[in-house]
Amino acid sequence: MELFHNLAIGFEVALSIQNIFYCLMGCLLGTLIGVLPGIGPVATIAMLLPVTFTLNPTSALIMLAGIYYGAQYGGSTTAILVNIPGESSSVVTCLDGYQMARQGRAGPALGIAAIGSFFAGCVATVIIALFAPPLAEVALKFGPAEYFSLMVLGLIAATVLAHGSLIKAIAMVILGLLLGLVGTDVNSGVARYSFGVSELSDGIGFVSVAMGVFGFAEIIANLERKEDREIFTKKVSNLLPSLQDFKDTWGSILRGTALGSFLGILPGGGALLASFAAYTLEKKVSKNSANFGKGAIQGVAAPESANNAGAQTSFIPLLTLGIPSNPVMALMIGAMMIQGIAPGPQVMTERPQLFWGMIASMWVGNLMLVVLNLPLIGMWIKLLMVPYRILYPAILVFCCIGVYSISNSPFDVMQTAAFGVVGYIFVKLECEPAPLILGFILGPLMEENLRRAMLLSRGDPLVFFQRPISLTMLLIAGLLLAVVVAPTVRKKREEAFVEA
Amino acid sequence: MKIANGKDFWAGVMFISFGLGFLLLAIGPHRFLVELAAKLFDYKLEYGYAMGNAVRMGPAYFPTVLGGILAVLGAAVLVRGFVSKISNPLAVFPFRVWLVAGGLILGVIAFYTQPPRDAAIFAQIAHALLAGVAILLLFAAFGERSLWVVLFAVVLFGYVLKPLGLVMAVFILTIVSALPGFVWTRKDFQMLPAYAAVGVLLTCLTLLVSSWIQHPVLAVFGAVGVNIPPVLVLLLVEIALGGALAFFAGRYKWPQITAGHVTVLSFALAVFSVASFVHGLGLPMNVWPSLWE
Repeated sequence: MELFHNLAIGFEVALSIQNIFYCLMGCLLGTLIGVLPGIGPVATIAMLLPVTFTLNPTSALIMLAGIYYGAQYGGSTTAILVNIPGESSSVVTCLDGYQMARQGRAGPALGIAAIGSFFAGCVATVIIALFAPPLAEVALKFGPAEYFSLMVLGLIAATVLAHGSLIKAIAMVILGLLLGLVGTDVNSGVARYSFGVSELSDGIGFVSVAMGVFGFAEIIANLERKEDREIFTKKVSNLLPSLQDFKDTWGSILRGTALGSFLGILPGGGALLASFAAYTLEKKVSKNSANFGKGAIQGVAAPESANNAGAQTSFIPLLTLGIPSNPVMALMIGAMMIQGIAPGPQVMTERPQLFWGMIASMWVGNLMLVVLNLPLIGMWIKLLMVPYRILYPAILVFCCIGVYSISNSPFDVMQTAAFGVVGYIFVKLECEPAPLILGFILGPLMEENLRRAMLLSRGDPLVFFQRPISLTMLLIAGLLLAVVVAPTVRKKREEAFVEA
Repeated sequence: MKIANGKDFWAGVMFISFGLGFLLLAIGPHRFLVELAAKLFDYKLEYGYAMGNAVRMGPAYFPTVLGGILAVLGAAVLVRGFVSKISNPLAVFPFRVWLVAGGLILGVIAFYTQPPRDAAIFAQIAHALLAGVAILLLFAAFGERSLWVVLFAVVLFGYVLKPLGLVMAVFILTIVSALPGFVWTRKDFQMLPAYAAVGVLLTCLTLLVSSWIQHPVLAVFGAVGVNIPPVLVLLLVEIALGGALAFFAGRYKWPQITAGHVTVLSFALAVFSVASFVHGLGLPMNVWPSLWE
């Protein structure tokens, strides 16, 4: 079997001592930032991007991936014990998880969240291993027109799923695309929008944008908020859920995993969407839907399985098509580019070690998380007690050293601080920054593919509608937009995000 | 017309100005304007980028199209700001115009009075101060105190790192950026020398340990095939140190140093050392002030 052969390569890579160490680092770090409210995986990966310069590509990606799915684990802990989502994807876990904690069942809630996540992680790993190769084969046949349409679809899907206003989200995508174009044009050698500043002729640093808009802006926004937390720490005992709990939840875990895996693959999807959808589905399907919001264990199991599954399957478009489906994946693309790897379908054939090693490491990482985190929950709770005002200077130090070391000049630090101001303005004007970062990373790629497609078609824009795959993708994009603009859905969508 | 939603209004203004900015810079000024500027002011205006055509797109093509779309979308958002049912005040976040003006003026002055590289150290420092004030003013124009203090600390870090070295820079960054988070009492100010002492002590220990890690003793592990990353060792040492300090500070109630204060410093330094070590032991920055050498 080809699959087993490939997985064997993967495990060989993932189980080397070095990679196990980086996987562990990633998982621990991910759980840490998942537990701490106010700092998410996007900011953390942005911070760690410069750190990965010196690692080998496989270890770097294994660690970064660990941060993402580790954060899904950690997020649930905070949600259940403190009623604050440590991660945006565990918002719905708060609803029932916190109620369970108040009823003195924090232990089983944490336990079922961890077990559900582990199960979902395992399934998602297999799904990636099964579906990525055929998808990559399809992607190898893509021409520039297909790639352009695919990017349009990805960006549209990302805006549809963004919080708040649709026009603003699209505008943010375009602003991101434009910012991505700053720097030397590959074809003509003209330095665009660099204003004679030599540092800008290489383009705006990806790390600067991501860290400024997500990292700094997040810190500042958090400082403006007041801290008030109530933690149920004493009552965490008996983590193992009872047999009855298992009977109640195995269906929810299965449904959550299936839904999460599916939604993760879609462009624009990922952990956040998956957990919301799973909770809604569970509420509809469950016999005791009246119990939801009052401490139903299904309401913890389903979204927690779904967000972990979604987090992992969102690697599929990244690994096979080279298209990021959410900001975290955009950062992963950034990490690959830093390492000199062009993301796309050729990664799998040219670097099987990297591809399969990363997939295998996800399973290893999930196992580590379950083994480590259940006993470590006490330690994470202690960390929750550290006030934010003590944490953030440390986070800043880390950010600053990272940014400075990109090119060893104060210019990058300055640039990042400027994007911090911009990010703050975005927050205040209710402009979601996630689409911006997707646009930023896709800007140059999109221009390149548009140019090639138009060159091949001799300037005929109809080429995007004449090639079947391209047409399908544009149609889906159009459909998505139409659906969202339709009045009934619009109302529902606003309600859904208000609840969040 | 009354502006109903201030957030939409300003977002629209922002998008329009970005869109038009990118668009106009791509197209560039008209030939007539360029000639006029050359004739009247003897100033060479830059032309825009080449537009090309749909078959062979020039560097201006894509940004022009995108800039146009962005401006149109911005206009839509702006219009919505007038008719929206959601109402938000026009003052979305604190914004001080006179600070922006002052910052811009000082910035322009700083830009044109840049001293040559071989100028006297006094002139260099004076210029750096001028530029620093300009930047601080520009940041201080937005938002609450936390915004500009934190960001100024970041910029300060970037600029003092080369002359003062990493240790001092990290120390300055930690102290300055902690300002908006802490409620500073008079006792805290009295304790500043103690903070500094603890910080320097921990840094020295960190460096000591790090030089020790490079020592051949640890290479033994490498020889057996167990590749222990120096980060791990250092992390453990740091955690142990920070933990011990926090423990003793709490236990013996050292005058006014609470466990929290020590944790800030040790945690910051732990993170710093991890970062520096993951970067591979060859940190591309000077650790101690370069003025000393």
